[in-house]
Amino acid sequence: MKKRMREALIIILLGCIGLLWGWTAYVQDREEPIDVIYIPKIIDDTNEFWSSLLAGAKMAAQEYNVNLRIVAAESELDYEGQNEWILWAVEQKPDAIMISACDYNGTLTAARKVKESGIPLIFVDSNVEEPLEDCMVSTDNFIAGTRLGELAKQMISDGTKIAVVSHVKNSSTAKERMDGIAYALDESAGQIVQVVYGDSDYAQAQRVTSELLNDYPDIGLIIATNEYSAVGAVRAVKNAGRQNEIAMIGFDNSIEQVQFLEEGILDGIVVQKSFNMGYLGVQQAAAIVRGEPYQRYIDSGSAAITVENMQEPESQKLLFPFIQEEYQY
Amino acid sequence: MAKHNFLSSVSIKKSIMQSFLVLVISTVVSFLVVSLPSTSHAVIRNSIDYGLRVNGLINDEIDSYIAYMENIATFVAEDEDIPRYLFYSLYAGENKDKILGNSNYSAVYDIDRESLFIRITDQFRVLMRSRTDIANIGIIYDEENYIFNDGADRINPNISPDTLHWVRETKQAVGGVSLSASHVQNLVADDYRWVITLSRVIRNPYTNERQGLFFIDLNYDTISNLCEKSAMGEYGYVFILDAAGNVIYHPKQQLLYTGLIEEEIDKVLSCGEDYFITDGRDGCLYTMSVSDKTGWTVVGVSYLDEMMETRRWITWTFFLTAVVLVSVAVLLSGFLADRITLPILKLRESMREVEKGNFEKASVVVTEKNEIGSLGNSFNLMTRKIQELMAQNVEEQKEKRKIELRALQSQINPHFLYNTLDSIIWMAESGENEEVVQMTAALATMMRQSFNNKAEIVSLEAEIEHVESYLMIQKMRYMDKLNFSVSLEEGIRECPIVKLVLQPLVENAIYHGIRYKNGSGTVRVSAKREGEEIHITVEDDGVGMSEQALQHIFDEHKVNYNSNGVGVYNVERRLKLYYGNAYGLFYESERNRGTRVLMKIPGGMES
Repeated sequence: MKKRMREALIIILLGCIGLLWGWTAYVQDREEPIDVIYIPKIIDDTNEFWSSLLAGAKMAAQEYNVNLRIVAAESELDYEGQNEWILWAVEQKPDAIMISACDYNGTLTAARKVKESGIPLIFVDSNVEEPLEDCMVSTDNFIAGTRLGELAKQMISDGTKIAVVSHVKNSSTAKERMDGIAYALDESAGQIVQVVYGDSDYAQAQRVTSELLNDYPDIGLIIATNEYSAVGAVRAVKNAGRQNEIAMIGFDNSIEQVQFLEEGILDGIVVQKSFNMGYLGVQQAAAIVRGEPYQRYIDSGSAAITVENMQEPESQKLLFPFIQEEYQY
Repeated sequence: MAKHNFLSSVSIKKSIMQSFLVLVISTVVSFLVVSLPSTSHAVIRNSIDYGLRVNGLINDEIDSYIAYMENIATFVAEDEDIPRYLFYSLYAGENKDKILGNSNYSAVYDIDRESLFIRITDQFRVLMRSRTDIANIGIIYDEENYIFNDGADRINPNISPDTLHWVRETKQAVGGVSLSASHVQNLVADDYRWVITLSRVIRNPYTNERQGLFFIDLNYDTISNLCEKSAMGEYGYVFILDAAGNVIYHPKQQLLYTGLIEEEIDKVLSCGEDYFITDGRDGCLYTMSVSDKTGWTVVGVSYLDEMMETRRWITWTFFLTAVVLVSVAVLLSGFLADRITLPILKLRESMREVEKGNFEKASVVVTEKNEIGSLGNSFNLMTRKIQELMAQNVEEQKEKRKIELRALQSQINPHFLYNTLDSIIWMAESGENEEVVQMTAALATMMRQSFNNKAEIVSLEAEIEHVESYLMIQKMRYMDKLNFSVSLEEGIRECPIVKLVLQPLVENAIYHGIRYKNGSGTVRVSAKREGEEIHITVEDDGVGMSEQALQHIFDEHKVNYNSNGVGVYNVERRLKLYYGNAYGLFYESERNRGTRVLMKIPGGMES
């Protein structure tokens, strides 16, 4: 009888413990804040791409209860400076580290240190030559390239000579965008007469474009594959006074390019969704840290905009990021 | 504890516990069943009310905000300087004569354009300084005639004002005032900010046509502040749509714009009620309030999950309370059952002891002062009474037996006494002095033994001495007719024996055995130890007994007047009374050969 009683008591006690456990689990369900350090290529509020990306990151940080610290070197070219920040970040022992690698090769060693420390690594926008990351969020450059190609296709007729002002030779992004262009142009890909490289520098891009114009006076369409190439190419074409003869397609949505688009010098541009890139980067970081499902790779997306549709609300939404004051960097 | 007991005790306990549990559980369950759905319903209802109230407040604030801006617009737009400046080129210079007929404006264009510009920009500057939520303020007639902000901002050379949606809308609007949706302000060069534009037409005073436009671009400071401070729970939010379903403000406007997230805009516009609830894992409650003034819809979104958190909390609390109540019920019922069954079990134990006759252990310790306590007390009283009665009974039995024993105790037969005394007289007369002394001494020994009433038990030696004296007397009387021998084993002399049990046996042997025999007979008395017992045999070689006589040897009614009046029956009865049924007399007899009687008594048994 006593035994029976004790059994009953034990069962009740276990039940109570179970309930308490459930209760505490339920209470703990409210997310603890997590620490994430993001090292972009640069922090520059005059650069639409980066300010929009950081704004997206900050919005996600607020939404997913992430304590987000953003640090960066002075210049996009200073990959050594970025590496120092990466090593610093490892020492801080955050829950996750996000990097927009400045250099495909130069950032590798530092990124390996992150991997070795066991801290989840998320690449945003650009990665390194080894697949070290837990997750990568970027524009799918092949798809972005096909958008360039599709825009081009609308603007050419048989025999129109096409030139591409690419950015950095042998960089993964340049190669992928080029592949996308060729894929979309299909049989018209043979009309590409020249590919030049602006080396992500306005002056260099302008120089190579000017040379191009001299070499191929009958060029009908120029496709630029990044911000620097596009602006440089436009400047060269403007200098040559040939903006009305040559169709041009740009990349990224800087104010300068938007204005070229308004002027009609650029006939179309492909924009990246940098806000989404930042947002998704932090979102995935939070998911990885909290053990929730996440994707190994996310395409943050891109879109093509033409002179004709740029005033439409849908295009405006893509061209001009709507960034609340609280997320501005 | 016996199984039988266990089951019976559990059945009481079980029934008590079960009733408790059924009572508590049914109460809790009915409570849950009744209250939880109603709390869920109430939570949603409250959230709807709350959402609508908040939306209404936001709408009111936006209305008054827009009204305020409209007042500014009206105030500015009615300033005569503005049409003068905007349409200056139309009527100044060579066009001046066109308006000469209009006396009201005869002097108007005497003021130079520069002064008008300064006056207007001063006014704009003041406004811009006083309001941080004004992104741009401006007037425009065409690409040439406009003032933006402090006058330094230029028009976007690539934009024709009349192609802009908000410009066209305002010029066509009834009343000439309109509020745009969110749009990028690309009229002002290098601006490209997202704004909401409140614009008002400015009529050309000469043609009365809507040719000019005054506009104020509102940034999102005020509206986002309004929406953000109106909490819809921790995760909920507020967004605003214009009448056409365009997003005016959304906390995740950019994600919405880039298509990363979607909002239930169609449902908001089409649902026709002031709230709806979306399905799915992240079910949300949407509450809508439409402003009559702006035509905007303020939509509050709160997550059902979050709303139900309170409900879940309540549920948990209910369940915890239920568990605690059930535990308490189990403990309480167990305790109650124990309070009832344990004393009863103790009583049962005591009763078993009573059944076994162990009255000493039967008493129950009574701690309770309730019904069961009184039952225990009664039980104790009862067992005590029984015990007393039994003790009394034993005492009475003892007394009775004593009396009986005494009654059964053989007396010296008066005939024997007379005969002996006659013999003494006769011997004295014959001068046989020695024999007289001998017989008298033997008689004295016998009488001492017989009359000693105090002792019920004597030593075996004394008993043997007594029967020897008797035999000696009889021997003197019967002379050669009787021979006897008495033997007593060493070591049992001091063994106790009920007194006066041998003499009747010897008497029987003489009177029934030897007396009818022709010639002399012998009586042998011997006592010896036989294991735990002492065996005393009285043997004679007299006539013996028939089978029939042997069978009736212990019959009570067999009284022989010639004997001393107490027969074998009495001896047997006394032995059995005293020593128990295992002891007594055992006769063997054979006709003409003699009789042998064996008396078994316990050896070394104390009195």
